[in-house]
Amino acid sequence: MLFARGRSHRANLLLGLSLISLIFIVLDSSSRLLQPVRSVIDVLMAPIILLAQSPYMAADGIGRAIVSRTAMLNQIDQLTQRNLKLSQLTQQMEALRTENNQMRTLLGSKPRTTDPVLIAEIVGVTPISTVHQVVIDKGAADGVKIGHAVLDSEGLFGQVLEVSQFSARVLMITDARHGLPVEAVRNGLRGIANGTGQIDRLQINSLPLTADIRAGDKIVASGLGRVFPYGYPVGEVQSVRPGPSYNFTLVDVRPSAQLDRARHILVILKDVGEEQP
Amino acid sequence: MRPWSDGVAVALTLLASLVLHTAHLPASAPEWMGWLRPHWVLLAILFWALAAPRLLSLPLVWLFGFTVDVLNSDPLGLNGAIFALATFVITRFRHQLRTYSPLLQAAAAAVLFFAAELVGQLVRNVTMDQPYSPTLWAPTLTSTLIWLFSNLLIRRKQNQHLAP
Repeated sequence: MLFARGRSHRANLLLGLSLISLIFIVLDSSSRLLQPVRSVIDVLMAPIILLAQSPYMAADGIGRAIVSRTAMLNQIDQLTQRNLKLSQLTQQMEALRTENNQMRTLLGSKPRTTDPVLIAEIVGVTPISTVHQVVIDKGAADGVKIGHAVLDSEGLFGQVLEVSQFSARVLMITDARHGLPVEAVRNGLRGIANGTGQIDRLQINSLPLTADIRAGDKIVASGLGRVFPYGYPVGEVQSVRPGPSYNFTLVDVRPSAQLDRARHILVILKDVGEEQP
Repeated sequence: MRPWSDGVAVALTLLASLVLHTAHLPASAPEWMGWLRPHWVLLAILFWALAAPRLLSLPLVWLFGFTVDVLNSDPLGLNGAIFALATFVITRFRHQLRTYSPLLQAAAAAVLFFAAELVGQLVRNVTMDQPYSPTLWAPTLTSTLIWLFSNLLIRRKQNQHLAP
């Protein structure tokens, strides 16, 4: 048997290592003490992540090289049209922003500023399917800090969880650990949208049964909690049903961000709590 | 084979297993395929623990676990403990395991894969509130199948290294 002749040197070693592991696990999950170790290993792992991503990069490169002239011209046409539409919207938004800020000043509130953003590319995803995290190619060297909000072209994507020198890890809004303060656009009803561990579903589970919310309602970030700026789209209500004990309503929200498809994302370079909601 | 080239082979296999572990399916692949991801790194470690036990010391395997911890965003130390435990068990019983038929050997490996998955999910659930995956058995199944297929290779290697 394992310990029949007294513990061997290897068994003692295993016990020691397991004990250190246990201490590390407790330390790492309850504090940020081991963060520097993690950052160093993260930098060392960058080539591995790049290698794992290389088939997609190669496929991308080949796809770009052999795309036909007609397809490219079509794409340029589409982009030009989209650009025109967007610049018209931007002009409108500029006017509205000025007007809104004037009104906020009249009411005695601080005017809202535009958020500086940084475009980043997703270079890796966490190999465990219940953990919703991605690695991006911008890090502390580009000004990314822990807690920065992250968007894609359609809506809120997540927040920066760990930063190393040239890369950062982003916790997606659908991760089971994630909670996001939201409100409904139609009536300003507030709640917390929790991640479920499923890529296409968030859940608001603390609203009373009588809450005025229904399928189709648009949900945006409420700005409470001071991580996510106010007003960015989060998703659309899919279904509303009473919870198992009939005390609360369970609201399922479909995220508007393309969480499993996006390649490029925007990091909002604004520190936590810099602006009051 | 000379020892230094064995060392290089171990290092290369471990690095390749890390790359395979990190690689992901294209976004168009159905979600259930993601549940089938084998334990590539544990497969590589168990392979070498059986084929050349002298090359894999427990502290080395334990330290190597840190890389997987960071790639997975697991609490530091979790994968090290799993790898060290699996290496210990395999090297402790390697003489018995080598006499087993390929099927019986795969069954023994399956127990280790399942235990590793279980411990990993348990710790992730306790420390990070991660939900249990509905398909706890799937990685065990795929890892065991790969183990079975690579068994021929191990057997050949074993004949070269009848380590004491």
